[in-house]
Amino acid sequence: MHILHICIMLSLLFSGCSKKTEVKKASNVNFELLTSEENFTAGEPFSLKFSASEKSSPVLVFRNAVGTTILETSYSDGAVQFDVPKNFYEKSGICYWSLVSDAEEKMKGTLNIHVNNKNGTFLESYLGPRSLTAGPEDYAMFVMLATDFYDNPLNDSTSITSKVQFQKNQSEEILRSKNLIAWTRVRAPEKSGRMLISAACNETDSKEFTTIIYPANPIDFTISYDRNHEYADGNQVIKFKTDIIRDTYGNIASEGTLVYFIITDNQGARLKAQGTTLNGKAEARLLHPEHQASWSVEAFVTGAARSKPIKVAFIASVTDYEVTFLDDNRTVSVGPLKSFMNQLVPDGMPISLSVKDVNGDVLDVLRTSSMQGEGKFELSPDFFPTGSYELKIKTAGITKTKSVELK
Amino acid sequence: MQRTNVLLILALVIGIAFHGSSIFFTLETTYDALIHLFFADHYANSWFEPWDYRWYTGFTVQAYPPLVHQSIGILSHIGGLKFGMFSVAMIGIVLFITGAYRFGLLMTGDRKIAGYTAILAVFSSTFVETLHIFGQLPSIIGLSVLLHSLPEIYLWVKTGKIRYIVTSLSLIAVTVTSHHVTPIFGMIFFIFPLLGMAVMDSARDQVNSFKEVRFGVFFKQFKKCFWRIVIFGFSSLFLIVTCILPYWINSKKNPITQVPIPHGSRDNFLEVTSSGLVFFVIPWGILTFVLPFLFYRFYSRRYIFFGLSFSMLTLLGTGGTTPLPLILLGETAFNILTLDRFTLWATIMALPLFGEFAYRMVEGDLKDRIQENWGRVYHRILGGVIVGGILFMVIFTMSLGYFRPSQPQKIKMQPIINFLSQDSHDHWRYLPLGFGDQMAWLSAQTKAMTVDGNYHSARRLPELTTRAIERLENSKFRGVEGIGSLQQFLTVPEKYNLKYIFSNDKFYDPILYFCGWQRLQQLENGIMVWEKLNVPPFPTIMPKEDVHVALKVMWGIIPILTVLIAFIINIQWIWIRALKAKKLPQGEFMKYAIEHKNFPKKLVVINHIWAFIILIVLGYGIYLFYIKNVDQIAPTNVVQAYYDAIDFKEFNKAHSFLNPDSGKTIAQYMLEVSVTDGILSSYAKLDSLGIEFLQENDTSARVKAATRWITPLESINKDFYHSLIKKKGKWYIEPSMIDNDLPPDQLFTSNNTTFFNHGRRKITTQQTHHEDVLKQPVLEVLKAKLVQYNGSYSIIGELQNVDHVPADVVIKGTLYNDLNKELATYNAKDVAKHKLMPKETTTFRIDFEGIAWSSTKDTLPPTFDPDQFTPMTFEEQPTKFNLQCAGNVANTDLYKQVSLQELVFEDDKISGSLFNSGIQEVTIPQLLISYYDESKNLLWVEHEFLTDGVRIQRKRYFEYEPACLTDIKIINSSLKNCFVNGSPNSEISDKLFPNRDKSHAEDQLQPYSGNGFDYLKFELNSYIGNPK
Repeated sequence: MHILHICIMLSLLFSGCSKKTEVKKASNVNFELLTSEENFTAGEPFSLKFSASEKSSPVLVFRNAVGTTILETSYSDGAVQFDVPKNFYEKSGICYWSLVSDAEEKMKGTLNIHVNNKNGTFLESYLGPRSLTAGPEDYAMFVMLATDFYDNPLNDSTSITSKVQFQKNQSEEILRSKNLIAWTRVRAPEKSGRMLISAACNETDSKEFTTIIYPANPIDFTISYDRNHEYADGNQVIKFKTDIIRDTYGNIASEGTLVYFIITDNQGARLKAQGTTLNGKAEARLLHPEHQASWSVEAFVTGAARSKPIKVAFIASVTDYEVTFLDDNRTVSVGPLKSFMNQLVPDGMPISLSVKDVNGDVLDVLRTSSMQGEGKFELSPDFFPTGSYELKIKTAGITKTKSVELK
Repeated sequence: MQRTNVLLILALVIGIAFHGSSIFFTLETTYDALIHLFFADHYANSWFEPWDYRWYTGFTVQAYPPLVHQSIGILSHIGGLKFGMFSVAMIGIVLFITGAYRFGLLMTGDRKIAGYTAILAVFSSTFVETLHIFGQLPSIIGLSVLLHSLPEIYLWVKTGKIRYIVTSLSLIAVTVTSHHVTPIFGMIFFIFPLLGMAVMDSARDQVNSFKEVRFGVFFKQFKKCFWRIVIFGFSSLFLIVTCILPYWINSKKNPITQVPIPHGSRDNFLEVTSSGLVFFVIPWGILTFVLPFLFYRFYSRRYIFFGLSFSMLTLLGTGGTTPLPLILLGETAFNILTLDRFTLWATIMALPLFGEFAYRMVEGDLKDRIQENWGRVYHRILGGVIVGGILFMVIFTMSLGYFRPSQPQKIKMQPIINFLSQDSHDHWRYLPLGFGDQMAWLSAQTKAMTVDGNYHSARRLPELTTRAIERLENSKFRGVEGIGSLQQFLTVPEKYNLKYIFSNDKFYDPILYFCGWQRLQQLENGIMVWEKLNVPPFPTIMPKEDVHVALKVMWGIIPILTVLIAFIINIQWIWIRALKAKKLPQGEFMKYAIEHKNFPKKLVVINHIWAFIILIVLGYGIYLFYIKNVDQIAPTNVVQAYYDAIDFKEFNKAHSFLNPDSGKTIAQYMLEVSVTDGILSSYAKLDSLGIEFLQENDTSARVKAATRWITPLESINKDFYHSLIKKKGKWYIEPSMIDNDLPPDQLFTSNNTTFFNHGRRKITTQQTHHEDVLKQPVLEVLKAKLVQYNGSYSIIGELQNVDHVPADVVIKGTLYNDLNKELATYNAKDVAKHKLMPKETTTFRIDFEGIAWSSTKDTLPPTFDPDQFTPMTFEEQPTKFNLQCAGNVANTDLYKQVSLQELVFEDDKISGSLFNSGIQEVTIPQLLISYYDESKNLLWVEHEFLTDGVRIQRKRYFEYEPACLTDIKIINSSLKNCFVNGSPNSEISDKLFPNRDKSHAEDQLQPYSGNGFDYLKFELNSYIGNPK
């Protein structure tokens, strides 16, 4: 089908070609610009008028920031008139025109379209970043772009006001636009908080912009602890707290700042707890140790701040306990484990029993935890045949050893 | 005047009533039906464009013959996709029953036997399974049309009348366009023997009986029919090639080079009994018992070619049970084909003879023989048993999907579809997890795209084709390999523009969290949506593999055209046949009906013996199954049973294995179970269990149960020790102690800073307003090194959130060689904390797993272990690295209230406990351990998941064995090429932390004299399974 169409088209094309060459006729028409005005206002329609010496149909090539276009006209009363289209006369800036007749440029010239301040001003503004760090280093950039009703940037040196509110202070700054925009740096104050920024130009005001001023990096702080009693019962919770962490300017540290608490025990082990700040205070919790211990605690906001170390001591809650052997030593009963007021220790105190043979090799380590202050181990004859063993019982940091004969 | 065949009508009525009504309850939960629905949706929306972007980052639907899909697509315009699917299934049912009838008529020449064949076809367990469990619509349609074409082909060869070749070719064309494998293998297994039979019948015409047909006669007739056979052969070959030419071109262009995906039909059925059931026992069903009869009849002279074909199909259908199928098919074909189709064809081929058996049993000579020898009662009982057996197999097969669902519960898709179409969510790819084959139904309803897909032959990404996994969506069923493949997608989602995951299986939650994903919301259908920050939307212009317009037009027009042509050609005959408007010529094959009399007595006996053997084998199998599953007969059994019960969360059963005298009540046990949480108890599947006896005597034992669990994070090996005791002939497990630690407070308070991000404040469909875009939090890389350890390369380092808001962290590392050639790129996976509070630090490690390496994409090793990925050997050693970190404001998963205490250093291990002081239950605690040398320089970073969770105000003990770092090699340690949010790290450091005090980090290190290191640092990360 397509091929058929193409054949028909081609044959028509060939038959349409003529051998006659066209003779170019030189034109001698003279034109004269009748419009004397060279400055126009954006948004107001205008036209260019020329007088022509004889009847002809010239075109006007018109060019400005919008683009280039060719305007056509009609000839009447010895004058030609070109109406500039809407999108061209709404754009401010220099316009270039040239009058072309019979492929020959007859005249050319320039004219100006000026910004139209009559129909009000539009103001576009941008602020970024939306958060800053307190102190002299950080700043946000506020950019304003004022335009007329037709989106033409106002002339350079138009005055635009930038207004800043921070806490009790309000300030204004008059800026002059240059290269289409006006801009300013908004320096972060030393206090943290919310900064509101807006702009105004002529009678137009911008909307409200916000940037949050976050506190700067924290500085050294102190810590304290809080506990119910000083006994190492392995059950109570000890709280470590910082005082209000602040930065150099006295601002309370950002919410959620992570504080590491490093606790060094008397064995040299570094325990670790962490907390996040709420109103500047961070808190972390640990369980009391199960045996007597002395801790040295230090807190860090890594890289920025640390606390002075504090010492915490725990004294043993269980000072001694009994171990009883029943059923030919096959049942080992530990306890009652009594705490500092002679009360039974809270359930869950771990108790371990390691069974060694006569050569001192560990056969098995049995573990349990206290229930009602007591722990019980069964040494089944299936696994521990008759013989002598050495039993090592450990709980609450106290170790007891006994050699037994299992029957 | 011919009479309407009552049996055929009966078969059609029952068939449509039975299958036609039950498909509404079965078809949607089959394996394949929804895939065909997705393809149909494609054609319904873009008939001529074969490229579909929605699966596998784009694939071509020319990878599957289109007829069935296009038919559903057309019908969908009347009543929706599912209407189309059910209509096509109905057509398939009718075609199959009538096809079986015509095949039966062709084979036996007896309308009565053909009627029996049709009825047996309705109830054949192989058809029930193919339709109601597998949902293989194209296969059913293709096979049914092939059956319809067989009489026509026979008549062409026999008579040479032109109209028969026209009808047979028209039907062959329909078969070709509906299923590609059916005509190819159908040629070999159905049409070759058919041609043989046709020639044989011609030879029979020359002599007085089949017995007199000798080779000479046969060969003479063969020469006579030769050109008819050749004409038919070449024309059908031509049809096979041209009707689906685009398919062949596509197969040539994208050959299936992928790693074969395991399929149950290739298993050894004796070892994997579940495969044996599905791919052997069910399709054969009652036919198993009459195999001697079938072989006896198939090896009669007329059917000899069918006999050979039948034997071959039977053999190939046994899969990996014997090595013969592998030898016969060769490695490639064996691994690409699913062998169940051979069984399907064998059982379909046996139908006419089974029909003959039924006829002879019900009203023929077999009935007489049995009654004569064993009496009427026995005949009735036997008949009853056979009918009962047939019904049992049908009901058993139908109910399989009910009692052992192959699919997750039906998911309501509307909320997901709404989510995808809201707020430009479909500008990113999504991934469903735990959807089963319903993912195809989801894809069919949305324009959004996924990286996954459900037609694995069309996969294109090397990440998928190099792994023997069918879908990412169900990767947990492929064990370590599946999880490993999924992890690759989760670790570098930006590579695939993958931002949303719909999780229907909480099994995958931990890996999502540890790969840096966060929960977004729970949809009203219970599906959890996870999202990943810092993933760009996909570009407006997407790549596609275009094909020539001619191929597109062929693909769009030929298949439907074949149906139209076949319909026009055959309609007249169908009409006549159905209405009996005109007397039709009897088919040539009607001449060869034989009179069934004098059923061989020996055969009766042999078949009885065979049936008896089968019964014994069945009985023995059931006995073995029972013995293996008697739980408390031996110590091994009870431990195995206990772990099985635990694995399937059958805690009542597990409790019954505990020593009844231990005083642990079921209530207490259930309570204890309910308060344990953690990766082992909530997210693990038992992979293997080894039982080692430490001590054993007649009444007690102590065993070590070495377990291996597959979890979404890694495979976990854990040893449990149990004491066992025998009481009253049964073995029991002594219950283990429960931690009776008592938290100090009944009620306590916790204060915390929490965060919320509005997303869009202004409700608009336009681009997010610039004021609503939060500044990216600034991170600072404190340390970064390229190291080589145990032969593989890693980037390790430490970074800090130096901003004022919590940050989600993405760390991307790239390796270069001396010539600045990029070698590999990958993201930090689980060895890093992905959510950082202000001023929080994390150590991290980037491992370069398989797909990370750009040069080795196509030569990945076939086996894969995410824990021990094989580092590639390359001539170009990485010497430099680049680190790109990105922060985004995070507001979830910021739980930090876990403390580390009770640290004790022993000879080769560190023990300690974690204490949870907050108010969220930590499901999976993670320890990040970093190693430092004597000058406190970072050497290595490791991590460890604790197998049990930490409950509120409780502690959890752990033990850790530090690594040996004597052979670690630091290749490069420079911060020069580190960038954060696109800015150089040094600038950030100078601006935000000009006065960093390095002693802080150093003073937090734990001195420890280890193998090749002097300091350690522990960091804690916690996954919360159920945030409150």
